[in-house]
Amino acid sequence: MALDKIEIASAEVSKSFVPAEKLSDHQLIEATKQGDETAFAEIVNRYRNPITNYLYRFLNDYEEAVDLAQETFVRVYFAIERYHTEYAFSTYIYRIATNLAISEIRKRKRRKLISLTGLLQFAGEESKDFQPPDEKPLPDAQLLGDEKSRTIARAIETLPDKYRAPIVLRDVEGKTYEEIARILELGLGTTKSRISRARGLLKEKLKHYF
Amino acid sequence: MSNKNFQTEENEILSVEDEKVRLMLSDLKRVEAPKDFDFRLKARIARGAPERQKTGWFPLLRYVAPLCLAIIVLAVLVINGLYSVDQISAPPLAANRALPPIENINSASAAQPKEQFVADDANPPPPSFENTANASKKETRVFPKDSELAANIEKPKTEKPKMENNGGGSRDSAVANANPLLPNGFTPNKFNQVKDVLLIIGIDAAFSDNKWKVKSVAENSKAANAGVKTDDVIEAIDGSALASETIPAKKSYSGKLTIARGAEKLEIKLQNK
Repeated sequence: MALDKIEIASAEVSKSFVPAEKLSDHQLIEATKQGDETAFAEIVNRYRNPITNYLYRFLNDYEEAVDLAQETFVRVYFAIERYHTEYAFSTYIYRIATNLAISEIRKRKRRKLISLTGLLQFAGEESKDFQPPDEKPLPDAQLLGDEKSRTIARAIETLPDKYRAPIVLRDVEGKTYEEIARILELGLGTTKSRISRARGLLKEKLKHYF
Repeated sequence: MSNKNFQTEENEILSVEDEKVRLMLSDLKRVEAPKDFDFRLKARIARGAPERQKTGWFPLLRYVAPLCLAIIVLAVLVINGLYSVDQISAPPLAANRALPPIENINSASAAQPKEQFVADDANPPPPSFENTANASKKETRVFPKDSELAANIEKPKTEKPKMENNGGGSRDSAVANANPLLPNGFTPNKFNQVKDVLLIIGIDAAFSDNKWKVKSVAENSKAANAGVKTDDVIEAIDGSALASETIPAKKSYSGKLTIARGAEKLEIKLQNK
């Protein structure tokens, strides 16, 4: 009996002395389930930049990307009891971020459909989204200043949803085909063909850079 | 198109153009989260569950709530309409008594005692035929013996009583078909009881040997004022011979009586007071 107590105590001590940075994602999730806030902070620290970058390249809108990245972590936090370790945590969090991004794109399409600018638009006039100018300097202003980078970002933005997610995950985030297939819940062959098709579309859009 | 291909880390063989596209995307400068990312995230977590969970019922309520409201409004309108119809068709209290069956009147008249025709101030005599005719010109019927019935007839025609005891039909048709010149039960194109007709003008007569012989005459009645006496034989009213217990009903009577008093025959006309 006394030995059991000693073993439990030693395990807690050893656990408390292991820095969160050295724990795996699954260990951090388990610690978060036990109420360890520092473990969840470490998860956020590991994935906030990749998720923000992924969403930014997906949406081509930094503020929206940051907002959805935070929403992603909020959902992870409140659904952490339902998380199962059969997949890698990165697959899980990227799937949430992808679903949020696709939902946001659909909302944009609905807003564009019912916007007054659309009703008042004359025939032959180019469609423009009415957005007030944002005077705040963006963190990636230098990036936006790069014409080539801006053109590439616009080219990605114009891709259909089903091509945009796999190409960003593959060529921007550097995910493997298998992981992309798990994130998007697609077959491996479908994933590869969509990435290939996305590259073909981007070649046409960016052909003056070749 | 170049024939030279590139092989990636996953043994993926790409064309030159595909490799260029891949390099262009991978060379994009990575964007980082803002410095206050953690602070804002903690604030959102402190606020509670994501908005998606809070607004999960909104799409359902957006369509179901107006539908329920419309159903309630329609139900209220339908219920109000049904009740208003019932109120219009609600029977008045004494409407069915306006035209009671003849048998009821006859039996009621026969059951009245003779003392009822003794004239006094409290009980005025029954009206004459002329009074009835005059009353009919004003389209009102006043019967001292049954003032309730007269009051019912004078009610506005907008009321639509149920005519259960009159074989159906609306109240308007029932009033239009009713004889406005005669008391209830004395319907034109039918036979009236002679005894009842005579009782109305104040004569209590008995039918025997095919004759109507006056047994008594009510004081101050039309018949008494016209000179009808006991033991007179009423032979005809308005030329209609009284050879039986019934007399063909007429729309109106002038009140001319043919009387045999012993050997002589008299023509008596009832007068108003």
